[in-house]
Amino acid sequence: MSTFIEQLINGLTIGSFYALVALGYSMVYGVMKLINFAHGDLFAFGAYIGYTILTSAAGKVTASIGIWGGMAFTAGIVAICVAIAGVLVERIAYRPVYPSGRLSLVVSALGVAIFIQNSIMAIWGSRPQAFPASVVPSLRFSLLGIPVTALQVTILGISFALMFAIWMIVEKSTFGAAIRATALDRETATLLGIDVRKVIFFVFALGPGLGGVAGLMNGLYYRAISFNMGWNYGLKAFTATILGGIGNIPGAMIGGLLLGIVESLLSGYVSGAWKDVFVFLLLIATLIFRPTGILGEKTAEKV
Amino acid sequence: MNITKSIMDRIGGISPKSGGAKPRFDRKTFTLVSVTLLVLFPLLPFIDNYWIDVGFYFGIYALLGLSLNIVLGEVGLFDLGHTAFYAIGAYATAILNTKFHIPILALLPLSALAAGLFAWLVTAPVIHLKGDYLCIVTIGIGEIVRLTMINNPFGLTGGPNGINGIDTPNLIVPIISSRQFYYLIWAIIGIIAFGLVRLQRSRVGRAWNYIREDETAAEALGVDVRHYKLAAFVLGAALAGIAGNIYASKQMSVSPESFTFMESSLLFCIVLLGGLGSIPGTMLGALAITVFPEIFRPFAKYRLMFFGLALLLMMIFRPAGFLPRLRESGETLRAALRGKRRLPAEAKKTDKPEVRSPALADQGSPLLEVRGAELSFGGVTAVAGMDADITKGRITALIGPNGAGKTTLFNLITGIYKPQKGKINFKKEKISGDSPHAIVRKGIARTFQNIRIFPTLTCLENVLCGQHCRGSAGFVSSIFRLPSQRKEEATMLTYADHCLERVGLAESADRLASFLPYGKRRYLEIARALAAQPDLIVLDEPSSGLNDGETADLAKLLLSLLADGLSILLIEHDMSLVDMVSDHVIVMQSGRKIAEGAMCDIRRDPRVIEAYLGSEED
Repeated sequence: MSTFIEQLINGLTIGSFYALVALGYSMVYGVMKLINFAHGDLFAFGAYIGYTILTSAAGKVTASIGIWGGMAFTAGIVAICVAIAGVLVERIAYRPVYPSGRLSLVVSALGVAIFIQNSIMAIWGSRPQAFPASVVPSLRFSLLGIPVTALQVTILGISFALMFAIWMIVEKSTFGAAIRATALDRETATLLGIDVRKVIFFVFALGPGLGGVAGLMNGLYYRAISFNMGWNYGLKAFTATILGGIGNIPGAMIGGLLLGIVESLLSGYVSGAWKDVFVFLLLIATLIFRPTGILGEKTAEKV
Repeated sequence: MNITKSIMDRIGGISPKSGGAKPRFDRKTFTLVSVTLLVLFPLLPFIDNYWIDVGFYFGIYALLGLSLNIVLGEVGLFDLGHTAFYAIGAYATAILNTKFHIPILALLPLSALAAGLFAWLVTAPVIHLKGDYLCIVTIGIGEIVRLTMINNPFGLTGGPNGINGIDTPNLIVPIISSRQFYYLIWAIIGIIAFGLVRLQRSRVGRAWNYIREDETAAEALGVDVRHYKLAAFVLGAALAGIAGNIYASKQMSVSPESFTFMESSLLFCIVLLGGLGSIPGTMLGALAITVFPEIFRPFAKYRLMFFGLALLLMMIFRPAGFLPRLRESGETLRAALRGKRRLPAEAKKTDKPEVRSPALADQGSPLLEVRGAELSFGGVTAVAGMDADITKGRITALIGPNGAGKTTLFNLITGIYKPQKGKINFKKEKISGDSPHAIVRKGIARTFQNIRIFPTLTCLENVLCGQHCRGSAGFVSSIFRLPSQRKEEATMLTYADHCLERVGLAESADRLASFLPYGKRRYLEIARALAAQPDLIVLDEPSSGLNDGETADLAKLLLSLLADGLSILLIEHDMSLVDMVSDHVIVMQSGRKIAEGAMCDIRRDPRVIEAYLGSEED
């Protein structure tokens, strides 16, 4: 039983990374109808920036304001840097290509993904990098007999806080209504006076920002990062997006957490090697039997 | 219209950005020069084995590009997991060769078969998914195949290290040297490209393009969309399987790292870089992908970075690709049929086609019967227990206020929706439940309220879509241009020409449909429906967007079609048109029939007045 709960907590932690990345996919897809293939690599980019700050420049920061302060400071910088990168990606790679149609956008997105991934390799090298133990909080405690690390609790806390904030913004605020309107029908939204460019800017800043923070937390959790980690995480997070219903904000969160738990239980009780095969089979099955995901609504094509 | 203009139009239509650009060189000369270069390349004195190998891998990517081009370029299906089929071909060869010592070349067709069969099995359940959804499934399939090979099921795939010790092919002499491999792959590509060009210019290739342009319209005009999509996947996978076979024997080993998502992305880029559906374009795309890394080899660390950047720039500045697909003119299509031999007598353009005129004797007998048809979406009932009779040799108009369920009824009749209750009979045979393409074959053809033509195809090709259901030529007869196929193709072309002439668009046959003005597009849709040789033609608001003069012309056309023996059912809001042409009017409101009869009676019917104007007490 305690193994089961351990697996569950581990799954929730991984799931919260997926959920944060999935939010970015989902928002961008909602507004642009584009699978942002570069999103996974922005996640990796966030991990690397965090790594750089924590190991070099901000080693002093950690020393002066402590491990927790150092982490919070780093997370802030990472979020800002990756958000800027996200906005740049939209400006440079998507906006000029948008009029040429969906297929060109896919190629453009793949091009950016390849570019970011290989830029990371060119800057930080092709070998995996490790976060030094000195910057990662090592506090552990036992919760009702189940060992939990302080880092896990922090990650879960931050993730849920961020998800709640996004949910509030998108579902409850006026600007959130503008985002949802743009997702529903871009042209009509423009006609109704919604500044679609602002919406796009916001979505491309927020999505990658969240993804970057998730990348950092992922790096701290596993202590190791590699330049091509973005592909795999991107693909998984995207699977989570589909599971929850693409374009649906709460769906992305639920999909991410669910995928994390399923993965963790599969590798704990079935087979670690075949885990990913099951995940992709689950993805395909979802698309066959419930293409709109857990929370997605059915839309009929008008003839 | 002069020829240069027509070529310019055809190029211009492919992308708004390259609009009006003159072709910088003649495609025929280009093909000739490239083939000569490809043949002579390994014989040049300063070319060493290293570069011949580069030429070989260029060939592998060209073949893979051509195979993906069928799925992505011709049919427009987003396939980002194409490497899976390549992997199946390579592993089938590796396993069967190392375990059972079957010679490599004997495994060539087997690899194609294995990959094709695999494609059929995995895509059949998902082929109905649209756009991005299908794209995601293909990514999933690609990953599943790669992971399975890493996991070494039953010790078959050798795990992460793969399989070593694969034989080299033996074609009279053993094929070992770089040069021999080079010629082997390019000879195979030559044969395949030849077949593909013929497919492009056939009923099959056109059906693929119709699906890419507008899937709903293709199905509604008689193309079995599911069949052609699956066929594209199977054929594409089979060709990728062939590439896998040759790759495995050249490498003498296979391992999962050759079949990553990155590889699938590269193939996707090859097709888009070259130009969707363009065979020479795809080859050029493959050349760019293989030679680019070689040129930038000194900057090994940065080359993929540059590559990503290059993809981006290409999509910004030339989204249509290096060599966009040109559409063939009617003349070219006819010339291809003639070949070296003499033109078959029945294909002469001057000959009048045999126009089917339904016997005038059974005029007035029932043609289409709708009985208690019902359909609701969620809680909204669009059609509620509708009855209607469409009589032969008449123009019947269906009118009613917006939201009355007229278009939904049309979609029920043409099979786009299936009624939840009730049934629909056509010529005394039940058609409700049939798929749209089957209903077209039985004799009902339609047009759409919001025009759905195939914009980047020529008008002639648009109209040929209607003829699709009257033909039967498949892959084999199209590739080998069997006499039956030539004859059928000639008949189809002649009939399509006749239909274009019928609506007054004969002059525009070779123009891209997207270049037609709005009003003419409606006529093009009517011509396309006529080409299906229907008994009943179903028009959804044909006069919308037309001015009074154009509407009067339309009325004339409809009456002349009636004189030819066609029966017509139309939805119309323009009462002047209804007045001019219709013999019988059916009024719908809230999914039900509220009145029917001659127009003069309908005008005075209080229920109709109430439906349109509201009751007087209000």
